[in-house]
Amino acid sequence: MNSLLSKVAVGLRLLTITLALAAVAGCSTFGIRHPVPAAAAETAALIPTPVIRYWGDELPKANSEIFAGLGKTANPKFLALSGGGMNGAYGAGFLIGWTARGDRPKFDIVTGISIGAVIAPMAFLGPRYDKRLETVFANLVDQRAKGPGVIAALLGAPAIADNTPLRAAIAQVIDQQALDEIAAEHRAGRRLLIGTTNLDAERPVVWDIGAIANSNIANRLELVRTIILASASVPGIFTPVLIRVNVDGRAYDELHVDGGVTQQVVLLPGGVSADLPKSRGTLYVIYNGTIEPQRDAIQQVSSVSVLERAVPSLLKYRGRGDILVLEAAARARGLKYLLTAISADFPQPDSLFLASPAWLNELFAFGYKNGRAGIWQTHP
Amino acid sequence: MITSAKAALRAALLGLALASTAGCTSMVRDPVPLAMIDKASFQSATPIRYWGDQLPAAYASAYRSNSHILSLSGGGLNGAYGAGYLTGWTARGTRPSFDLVTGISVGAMIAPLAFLGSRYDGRLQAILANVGSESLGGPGLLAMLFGAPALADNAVVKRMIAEIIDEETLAAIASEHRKGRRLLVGTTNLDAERPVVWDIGAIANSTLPNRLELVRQVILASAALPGFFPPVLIEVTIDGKRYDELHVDGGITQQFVMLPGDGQGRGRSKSTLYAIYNGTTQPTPQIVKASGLSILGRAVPTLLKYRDRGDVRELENTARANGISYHLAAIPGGFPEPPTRNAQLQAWLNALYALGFKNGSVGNWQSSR
Repeated sequence: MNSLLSKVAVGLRLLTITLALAAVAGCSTFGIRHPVPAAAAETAALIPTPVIRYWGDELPKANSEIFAGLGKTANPKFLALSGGGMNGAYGAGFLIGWTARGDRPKFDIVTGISIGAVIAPMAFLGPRYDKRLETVFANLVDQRAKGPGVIAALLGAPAIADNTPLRAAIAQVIDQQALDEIAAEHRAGRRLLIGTTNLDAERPVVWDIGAIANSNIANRLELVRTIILASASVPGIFTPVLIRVNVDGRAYDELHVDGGVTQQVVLLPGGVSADLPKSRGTLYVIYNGTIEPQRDAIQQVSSVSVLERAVPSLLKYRGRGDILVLEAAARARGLKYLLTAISADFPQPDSLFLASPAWLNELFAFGYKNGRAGIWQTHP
Repeated sequence: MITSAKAALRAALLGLALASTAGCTSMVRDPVPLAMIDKASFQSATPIRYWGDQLPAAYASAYRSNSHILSLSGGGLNGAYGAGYLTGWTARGTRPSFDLVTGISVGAMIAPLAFLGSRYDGRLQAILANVGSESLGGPGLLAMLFGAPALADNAVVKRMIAEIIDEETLAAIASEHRKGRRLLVGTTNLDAERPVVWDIGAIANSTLPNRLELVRQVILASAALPGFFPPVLIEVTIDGKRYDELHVDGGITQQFVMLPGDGQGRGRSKSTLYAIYNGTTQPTPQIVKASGLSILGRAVPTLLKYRDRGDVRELENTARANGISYHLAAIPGGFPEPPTRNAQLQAWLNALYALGFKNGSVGNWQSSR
């Protein structure tokens, strides 16, 4: 029954997409926006200094603090955590298993997209935060997303699921103490980066969370939580997040959604560039999803059954492409590249957003087992 | 409560569908058993296709000589740009005879004519710049919800493909294949969840009795956008028994046929890869309303754009790894989106074709390395 309902939900969601693509406009809209004028997108800022964010698709223009401190380490360790919705249980389990293995390094740079952005601060702060990571996931597993539903979404509500459980999880991840510790690590030269998508600009944005934590922005705690929420706000499922910015002293808002809309994994703004010193460092990628093909024959051929199969396939190959590009760039810079992902034979959930607690716990345990055994692959 | 509303809606619509099943065709399948997916074959003496993620290194031999490779992406109606670019390139007078041509989706429709050379530019324009005059009829949205295989009828696309591939062009492709030139088209095998690359020249040159029909079918599958056009069932044989494979748009798995990376570290070659991306890689700023439909209507094309950007980067990396020059043509940012009204579609296609022609005729590449 659950499986049927989730299939109907997927079908209707796909219909929503089709309708939206066909430009059948919604009847009503939620919040009133004060969007940044397109011409001012480049100059929009929360505060003038320090630089706390970058476009994700170009190299930082100036004042980049990102690379400062990297030169000090002979063998820097990078960790990139991908998006993947509830598949993030894999990454959380893997990290905790890695701690148990005893050779989990202190990462110089940690990046996260979407669910990876929820995990990233705790991965950054180290094994002391494993307990919190486990609790956050346990709570997310227990909660069931509720919301206005598909029909409301069709009629113009911004999303079909309530983001309250997600907000609660993020508030638990980042409290004042964690924020202060992130600031201290930032001063020590380590970096914590989170990716969102600025949907007005149609571009990825990379936020320097450590720089925000270390700033004197009055609402920095709230801002960090808002960014992580935006990073995980899958369009059509969760409400988009409006982030207040200033242009020439005037207040506007930007509309941000899931960083995975533009990139499923990130290392640095503009990719891994020539600015990154050639090093003997290591890049660890935890991919919260399956990269390998999974066989499954459609018996009843219909638009919905074909779309139900084709859309996840498209997303899989998109993630695979992101990984291949990152891998090529990392290798070109001399970095050792290690990847872990959910293997194709792990059973699939009924639905990414309605996965059962039992399945999520199994996935967490599977991640733990792989992390503990130190199972990495070097190529998709 | 929400779920019961969904169920009620589904039931109501199902009732409607049952009341009006006319026009809905169903597809009866005899799928390849999952464990035997790798064994499916054709009654051909030579191989005619490969997994797209395992293309044999033999295809990389093109890199070593002084060769010209053309890769055409998917992009639906945006294919008018690529068609225009190629004919403009002919007008410029520098368009080479390509040693290897690859195509996905609409690029797979352009590829055979691009492969056969400038003599076929007239046909290219006649077919690809005039889609707008034909309205894509079909069972429509409601029928699709209740089990029709697709939103739109693929009769128009079928007719276009039949004009591209006829007995004459098939024979010409076979003859070029014998000279060592290659024409590749990509589809997605949805049962296997893997890209498939078809050697169209090898099919044309084979003794398969249905080779004309098979080539047309492969191109139709390559352009079968899921949900919009019906998927294509391709008949295969395993141990003398017949099964079918379900193929859809090659763009589901990759927007370009990815070439094998055999040439890694082999030093520079004099070959050149020309990639024509039938879309825009640049961001298009636009204020988004905070409603569910406008968020999705914006987020889905954005996701696809960034997916394609990744594929473009991957293609570029392949070129670099093989030490060959690389040129990319794409629709410049700022060109308007396709109109929603059918009446305006032809004018839009003409403008896009003209823009492609102009850029091709002056040799305007978006990036080169």
